[in-house]
Amino acid sequence: MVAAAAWLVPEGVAAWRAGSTVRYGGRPASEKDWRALAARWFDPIPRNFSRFPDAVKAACGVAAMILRELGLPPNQAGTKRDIGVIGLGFQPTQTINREFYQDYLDHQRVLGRGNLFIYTLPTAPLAEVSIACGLTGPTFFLEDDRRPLPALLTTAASSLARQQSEAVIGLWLEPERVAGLFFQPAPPTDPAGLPLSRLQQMAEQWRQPERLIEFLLNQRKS
Amino acid sequence: MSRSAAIVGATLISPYGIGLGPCWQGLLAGRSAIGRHPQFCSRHWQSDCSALVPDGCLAGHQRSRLTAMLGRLFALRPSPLPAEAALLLATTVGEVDRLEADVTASGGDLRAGNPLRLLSWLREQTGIRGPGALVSAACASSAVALARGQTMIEEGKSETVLVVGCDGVSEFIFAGFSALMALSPQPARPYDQGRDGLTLGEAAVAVVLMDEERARREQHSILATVAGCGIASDANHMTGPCRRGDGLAKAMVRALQEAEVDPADIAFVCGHGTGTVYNDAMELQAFKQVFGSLPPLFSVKGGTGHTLGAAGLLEAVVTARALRQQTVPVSVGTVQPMAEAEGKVCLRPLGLTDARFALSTNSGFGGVNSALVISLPDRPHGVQP
Repeated sequence: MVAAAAWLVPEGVAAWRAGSTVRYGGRPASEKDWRALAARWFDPIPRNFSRFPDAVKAACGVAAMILRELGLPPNQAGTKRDIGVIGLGFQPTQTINREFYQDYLDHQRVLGRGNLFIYTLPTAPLAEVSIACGLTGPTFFLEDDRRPLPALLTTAASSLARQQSEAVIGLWLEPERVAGLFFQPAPPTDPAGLPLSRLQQMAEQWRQPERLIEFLLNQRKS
Repeated sequence: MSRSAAIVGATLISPYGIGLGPCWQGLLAGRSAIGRHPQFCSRHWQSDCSALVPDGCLAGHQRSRLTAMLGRLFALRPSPLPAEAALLLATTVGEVDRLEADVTASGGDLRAGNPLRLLSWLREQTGIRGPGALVSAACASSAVALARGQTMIEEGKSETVLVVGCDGVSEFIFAGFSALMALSPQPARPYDQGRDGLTLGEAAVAVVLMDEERARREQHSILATVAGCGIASDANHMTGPCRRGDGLAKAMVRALQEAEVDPADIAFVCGHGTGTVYNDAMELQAFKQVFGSLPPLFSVKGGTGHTLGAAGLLEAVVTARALRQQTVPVSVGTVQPMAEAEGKVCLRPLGLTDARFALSTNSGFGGVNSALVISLPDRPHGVQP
């Protein structure tokens, strides 16, 4: 089931759990905004956070909001948790790829910038999430070419079924937008979460995180 | 689990040439395919060594180095390949030379290097109409894709899965790894006391996984089965592995549990063995945690170079071949093994008796780790690969 979700989109930043939504305000527009948000998400703020590309900051923030919502504040005293991170969405790191190579050309092909190069991989934002939040489950990128979100849900579900980790955070990354879902095996005694089957049915229609967010917000009403 | 995933087809293009044969023979002979390649030489960089696929092994008139490798690979048809099969493509960053060309020429089209385009090109080449996905997990990409393929088969979501792993050497990659001070000025020396960095390599590998019962029914030859998989993260550092090897140890334990085998059942380990100081030391710590006494160990990367997103699949295929041949190949490039691995790193081919299980491991940037238990099938079937 989906126990919690969070998103960082142009319209704002928020976390969701069945029955409640926490709003963190508008999308950060400056480094000062990012630091203010990071101070609410993390204690302490991850080293080098200010140097992360914005897409990586957003991915870390979304994961941290989800964990906070569930009473699992990230990386307290180096605590590690058996939670996986599975993501989809190439575009944010594709942009970094170009930035890295353009920077290398602009500097007469002498050396690339190592701190940009490490963010050229599609798994880079997911890996920073696992480091910032202390998550030791499987971390990988998977994007189905026809049904990206349903495939992410299926992959998370099968990872749990095979006990590869106790829970999974699924992240959907797009330029300017990151949405995240927290998957865990459905405890028979807790009806609070959203059954995966309901989400799966709707996910066939979605190509933008906004529709997912709208769906989750409607869960509160229903 | 009632279903199991059998490897019924495997082919590759590596710096040794076309097919598994030349690669296997090279590794068995302890011969390296690493050379000095001036097109990637800069006085500012750490190394001009790399392991490139020979030009004669590339398909002509292709849009990128990856399609040149894959075009030639699929001319070989890793049969059987039903159209309803699923397709998993593993790569770290895809057609990066297209992106280089596009940035150099125009700085324009963001879609030029999009790996989803490569996936769609691959669909056209193979005629596969089933589900398709891109899988990326840094240098464990194709091992994770193989694990995902195994899951799809065991859960009954697909009966056949084509798993493809590929990455090419390019200026982009060279500039990045050089900036990280990760390259050795000499050909890589995995698990060696004098190791001082990795050597970049390139490859394209295709593996056909099939539900074992279907494979038997249709009388396909079964090279090996993927008996267990584990994936875990260090949650430690983007470029530095956890020194105790906790993430890799966790991945190995999961793979062994899934395969329902004990560490003592593992006949040998095909390690990631990049030749960097920290990676190889981390691996040995992880092996110590899981095995106590280390089984015979080798790395292919002193021969093939580090083929990045293709490495996991290439190494799984070599592992399967080693089990079939009952021979562990040479850890090419290792001369004086690290003290912790003394007597365990294969400096010459090692003959085995009744070996059924082996482990292949990979680790990558961001602290991702994978482990695959490769097994000979329960009942011998079909011809030797």
